[in-house]
Amino acid sequence: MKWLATAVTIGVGMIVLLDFFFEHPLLDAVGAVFREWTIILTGFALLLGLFNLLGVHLMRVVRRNEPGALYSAIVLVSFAAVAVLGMWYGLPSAEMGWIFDNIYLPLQSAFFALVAFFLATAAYRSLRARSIDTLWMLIAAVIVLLGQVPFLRVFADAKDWVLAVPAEAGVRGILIGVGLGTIATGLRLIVGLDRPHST
Amino acid sequence: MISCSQCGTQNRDGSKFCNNCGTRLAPGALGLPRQPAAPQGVPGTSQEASIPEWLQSQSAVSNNESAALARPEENAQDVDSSAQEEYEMPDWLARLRAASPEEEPRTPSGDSANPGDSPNVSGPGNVPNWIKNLRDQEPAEPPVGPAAEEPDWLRQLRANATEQSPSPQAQWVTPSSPEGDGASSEDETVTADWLAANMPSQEASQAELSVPAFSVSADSGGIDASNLSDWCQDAQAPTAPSEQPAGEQVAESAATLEEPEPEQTESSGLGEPSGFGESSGFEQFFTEATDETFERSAFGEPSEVGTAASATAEQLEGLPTADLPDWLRAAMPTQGRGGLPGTGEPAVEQPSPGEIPTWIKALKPVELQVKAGRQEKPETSGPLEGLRGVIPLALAVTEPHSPPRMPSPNWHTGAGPLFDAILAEPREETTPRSSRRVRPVWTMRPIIYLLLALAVIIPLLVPPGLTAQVLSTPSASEFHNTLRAVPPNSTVLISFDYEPSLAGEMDLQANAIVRDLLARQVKIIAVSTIETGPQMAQNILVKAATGKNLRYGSEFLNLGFLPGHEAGLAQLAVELPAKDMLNQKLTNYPLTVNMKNLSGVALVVELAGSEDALRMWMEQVQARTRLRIAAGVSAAVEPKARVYRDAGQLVAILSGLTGAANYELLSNQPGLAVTSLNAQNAGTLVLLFIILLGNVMHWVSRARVGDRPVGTGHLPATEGQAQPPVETGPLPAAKARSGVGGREG
Repeated sequence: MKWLATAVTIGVGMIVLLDFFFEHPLLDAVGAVFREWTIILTGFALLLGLFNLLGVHLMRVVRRNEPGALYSAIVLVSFAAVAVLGMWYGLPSAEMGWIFDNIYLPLQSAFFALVAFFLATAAYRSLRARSIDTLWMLIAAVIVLLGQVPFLRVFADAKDWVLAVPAEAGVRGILIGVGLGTIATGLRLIVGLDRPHST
Repeated sequence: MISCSQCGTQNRDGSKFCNNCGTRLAPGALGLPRQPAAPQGVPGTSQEASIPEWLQSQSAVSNNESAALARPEENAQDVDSSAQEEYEMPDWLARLRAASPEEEPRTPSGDSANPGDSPNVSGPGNVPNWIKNLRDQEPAEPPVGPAAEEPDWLRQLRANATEQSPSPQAQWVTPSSPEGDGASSEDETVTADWLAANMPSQEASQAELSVPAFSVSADSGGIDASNLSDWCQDAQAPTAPSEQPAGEQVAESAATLEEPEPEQTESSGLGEPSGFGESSGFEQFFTEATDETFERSAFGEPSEVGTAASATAEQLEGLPTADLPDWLRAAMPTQGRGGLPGTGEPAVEQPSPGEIPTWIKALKPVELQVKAGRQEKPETSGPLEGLRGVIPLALAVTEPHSPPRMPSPNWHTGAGPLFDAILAEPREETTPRSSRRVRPVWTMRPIIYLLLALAVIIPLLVPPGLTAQVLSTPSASEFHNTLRAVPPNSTVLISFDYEPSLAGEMDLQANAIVRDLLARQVKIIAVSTIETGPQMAQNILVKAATGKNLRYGSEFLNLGFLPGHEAGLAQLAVELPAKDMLNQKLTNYPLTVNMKNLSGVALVVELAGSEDALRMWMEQVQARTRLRIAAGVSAAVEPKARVYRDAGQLVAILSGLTGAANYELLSNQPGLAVTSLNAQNAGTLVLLFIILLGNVMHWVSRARVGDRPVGTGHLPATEGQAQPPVETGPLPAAKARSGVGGREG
């Protein structure tokens, strides 16, 4: 039955690809059905991830002697509370909004704010002119940082040049490479050279 | 039933000894062949009348000689042989005996059909019943004259045999003799144990000795030359030239057959020798056969002939050489063979009476020779005195001894005193670990944290009007102009694709954009490809709409979470979802009642906190619908957003907090973005100072290491302390250059 999985992969890929390039009612309808199926499968993937997370933390709590069992218990209790409240009051309710605005959002913002301190320490230890390469990196970082500060206009222009020329050139090359890799991978899947679904 | 050869008592089958006289009936498995005198089924051959006269005469002579051996001890082996033959009596003979059980035994006449039986019968009462039956049935059988059955060649053969002296034949045919027994017993005293182990038992030897007598008698009685074995034919070949007539060849063959075989030679060695050694063909055969037998014995192959030959040769060693027959002396190896007196043959290494010849020593098993080759030192003391082969270890263990002194190496000469000195030192009182003062390690990390915190907190406390200096950027202006180009009452789709962790940066952009659009009566439809995006969008929309008489579903709408990532966006490009975040149908809202897809959207604003979200919008939506998309991105995503902007896929970009502050100022609604920008600028200056400080510390540390000679050690050794091992090589210099090892940060 391996050929069936390969045939399904090739057929669906060809239909979606044709739907992208051509306007046809039948292709649009079939393509829309396939996209809806993909969305449903993505929802099941989220559900599977949730069960996996709960299983890992539940086993850690059951064993007790493992480090972090207390935090796992907090995760389980939090999950149970939010799930019960969400199913009881509904997702767009005021209760769920309160939990999000007063617990989830501040915690994530505070956690991300700590990154500024770690970045400062890393900049102190890493941005050192030990060689020519690190010197160039140090110069670029200083220029971009000074360009953020609205005191010296010359550094703002220098910052724009760094972002527009060297940085954009590198990013453009990366994006082109990603695009070519995506095309090659898609073609191999459609042609049947790669059959990860049937192995 | 088995009849006893001594008393004639009938015993049950399987009995080994006679119930009457105790005579052994079945001597055991001696390997005796079945008597070939009378084959079964041939009429007349089983009767006494079928025996030729010459054979009867030989039997008579044998009986006479056997009768002279009055001592039963000497004839014990013959009795056993007779009993064995009785035990292996053929069926036809048993039937003959069973035919006349009522007849009484008669006095033996001295002639017997079986020469093997007759010599052993010494008295009239010892004649077995079955022999008597044979005698009784003799008249009933048709007379078969020898002249009527014997061919000419056999008569000639018999005549030649008669011309030769029958007495020597009878002598070597005679299985045992007193001289032979005496020699054998005498040799046992000089035979080694290993040789005695190889020697057959007396019964087996005697049984083998008795075999040739039957064979010769049978062969002489009527065996054709064609029935001879190959070795026998080879042996007679030299004596039977092809030029002779057939009759003469047969006669000579028959005469040669009368010469003893190798087994017969052994048996004849125990009796009186006769003139058989003159036959060159037989001598050659015997020499070859004997050598082959010796070789087989040397390799340990089981061979009755070899064993018998070894035993016989060993027995012959104890006899005077003059007593040996000529054929046996010829068969003996030259090296160990002495000259015979009277023959003129030179003596070669005449062995002493107690010495084993070398050719017999060659028969010794290999393992025993190896053991004998070891010269074990005998024990001279202790309870094992005089014994050889004692384990040498016992000598070293039982006797007093001392281990040898090993020279002490130099490397630990001073280690002993040093170890003693360490043990002699008074033990210091250990202080608890908690009371120890840990030497603080100087790091820059707390200072960095403190400087950064102060740089961010202090500008937030200052009113924005005092310190607000916003650097206008072209991208922000472009973005502002793009949104300004959207006409009122048109619809703008805003995608909130950023995590709550980026809310400090992205929420400022979203607030400025939503407030500006709603202020200009532009309708907003919110959507998100991240699970937490809908709630953040709802908060911003509700906050912007508060106090402005804006209704949900008429001026703004939240479609909620859009699952499926690329697939969800591709489906969104084709058609709008059926329901909104509140799980209500879009057809129920005035904003979307006539909207089926994104064709009615004037502008898409992508608020991307990550590059993946921006890429998906560019690939799945912008490429399909050719919509005008403007992106408000975080500062980290700006480099990639610039690529799409320069490619024309994005109409404008708004980057980071600086872009949000610029948008606020451009829209004449300064707010939190402008206030936060002052904190960000202060933090950026502090970060620049930290980077400069780090480089200064690095160069100062490098200058210190550069002044110090490389490889001379790290710390000066104090007086009285052992100097640590000097670390040489490029590693210290590399560490100094790289700054590894110093916890400066």
